[in-house]
Amino acid sequence: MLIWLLIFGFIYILLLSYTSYLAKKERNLDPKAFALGGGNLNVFLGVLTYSATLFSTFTLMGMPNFFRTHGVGAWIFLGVTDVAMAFLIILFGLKIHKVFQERNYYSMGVFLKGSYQNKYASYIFLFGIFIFLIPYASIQIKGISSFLATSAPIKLNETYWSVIMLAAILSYSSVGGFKAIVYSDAIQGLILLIVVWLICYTCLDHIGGFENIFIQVKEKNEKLLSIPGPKGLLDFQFLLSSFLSIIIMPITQPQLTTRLIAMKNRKKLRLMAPSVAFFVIAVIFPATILGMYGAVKYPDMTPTDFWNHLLIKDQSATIGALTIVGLIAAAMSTTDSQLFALGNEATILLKKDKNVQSKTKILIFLFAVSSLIFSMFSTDNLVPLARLSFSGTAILAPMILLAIFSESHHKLGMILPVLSFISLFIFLFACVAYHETHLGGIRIELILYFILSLVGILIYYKNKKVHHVLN
Amino acid sequence: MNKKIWSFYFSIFSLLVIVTFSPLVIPTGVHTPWVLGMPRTLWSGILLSFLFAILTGFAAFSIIKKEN
Repeated sequence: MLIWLLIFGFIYILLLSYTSYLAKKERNLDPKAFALGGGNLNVFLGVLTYSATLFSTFTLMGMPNFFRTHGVGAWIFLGVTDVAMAFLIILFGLKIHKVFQERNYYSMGVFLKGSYQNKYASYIFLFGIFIFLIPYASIQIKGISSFLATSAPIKLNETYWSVIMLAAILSYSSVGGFKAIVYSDAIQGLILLIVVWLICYTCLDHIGGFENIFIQVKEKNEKLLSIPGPKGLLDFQFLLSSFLSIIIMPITQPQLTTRLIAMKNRKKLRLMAPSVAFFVIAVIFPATILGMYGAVKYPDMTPTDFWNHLLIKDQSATIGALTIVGLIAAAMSTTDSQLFALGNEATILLKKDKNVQSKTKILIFLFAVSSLIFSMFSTDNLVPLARLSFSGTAILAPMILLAIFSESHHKLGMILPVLSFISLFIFLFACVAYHETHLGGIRIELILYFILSLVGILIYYKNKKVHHVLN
Repeated sequence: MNKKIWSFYFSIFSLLVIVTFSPLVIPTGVHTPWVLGMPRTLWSGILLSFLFAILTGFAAFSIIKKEN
C-alpha cells in the first residue's frame, strides 16, 4: 500500500502545487475579484466546489458511521434534506446574486452592515459564524487525524496528526486564493465520488449483493430499519430541526454563499442547483450501503476501528491508498474553504482598519487553534458536530433573510440582530455548556427559529405597509 | 424571476416536504412494505430525493426558458 500511497500522494501534491500557481495570478486582482476568484465559475466547477465544501471527510467517515449507528432514518436527515437544499439554491442563490450585484456587495457581513445600517449587525454575523464553524472545521481535523492514527503506514498518535494536518491546512490557505480552493475542491469532490463507489462495490461483493444487505441488517438489529433508530435519536423533531437548519445553509454558511455569488451568471447558477441535487444522491446512496455493511459486520466497533476496517482492511491496497489521499484532500479543501471565507469576511469588514491584515491573521489563528482544541476534546461521532454547526448558524438565517428580501431603503432596525445575538448565546450555553437540547419537550433550536422567524416576518410586513402608505 | 412559476414550484416543494415528515415516510418503528429489498423509510426517502431533484431541474429550466 505504501507504494500506491506515494504515487497518489505525489500526484495530489503536484495538483496542489499547480492550483497554488494558478492562485498566484489572483494576487494582483482587486479585493472583490480576489474574494470571488474573478466571479466566473462555470457549472462543472460550481457543482464540484459547492458539493465538496458541503460534504468533506464526513462523506466517507461520518455518514457511514451515522447510518451504522442510527439506521436508515439518516437518509431523511442527510439525503432528503441536502437535495431539498439544492432546490432552495435557486431561490436564495438567485436572490443573493441579484441583490449583491445591484447593491455592489461581495461579503455577507458588509451586506448586513449596509442593510441594517449598523456595524454591529455584521459583528453579530461574524461572531455567529466564528463560533459555529468551529465544530464543522474540527470534524475535518478530528476525522482525518483519528483515521490516520490507526490506518496510516506512519505510526503517530492522533494529536500529532491533528497538528500536522492543521499546519498543512494553514500553510496552504496562506498561499492559495479562492480559485485555488475551488480547483482543489474539484479534485477532492471527484476523488471522493470515485472512492465511495469503489468501496461500496467491494462491500456489496463481501456481503453477497444489495438484496441481502437489509435482510442481514434486520437479523442483526431490526430497529435500524425505521425511525427513531436504536438510540431513539432520529425522532420527528430532530429530523425537522435538521431539515430547517440544513436547507438554509446556502445563506448561513459563508463558504457556501461565496460559491453562489461567484457563479459566472444567474443562468449558470440555476443549472448548478439540479446538478448539486443529483451529486448529493450519488454520494449519499453508497454511503448508506457502507453504513449498513458496518451494521452487519462491525456493529459494536468504535468509529475509529470501523473506519479502519471499512476503508483500509476490507479494501485492496490501491483503493486504501486512494482513500487516505482522498480523505486528506477532503479535510484540506473543506477547512481551507472555511478559513478563507472567515478571513475574507473579516478582511472586508475591517478594511478601513489600519491593522486589518494582522487582525485577520489573529482571527484565523484563533479559529484554527479553537478548532484543534475542540477536535481534541470531541468524540468520534462527526455528524452530530456538523449538525451543531448547521443548527447554530441557522439562528442567523431570519436576520439574513430579512435583509435579502427587504428593499434597500427599508429601515430594518436592530431588534432582529440583537435577538439573534441573544439566541446564539442561549443555544450555545444550552447545548454546549449544559448539554440540554429540549425546553418543555420542544427542541431549543426549533423554539429559537420560530421566535426569530416570527419577528423577521413582522418587521418585513410592517416595512412593506409603511412603504405602501408613503407611496 | 417569474412569481407565478416560482409559486407553482414552491407549492410542489412544500407538498413534498409535508409528505416527507408524514407517517407515510417516517412511521415510528415500521419498516414495511419493502420495495427493491429496501425498508419503507429508505425507499420512500430515496424516491422523495429523486422527486426533489427532478423538481429542482424543472424549476431551473423553466425559469431559464421563461427569461429567454
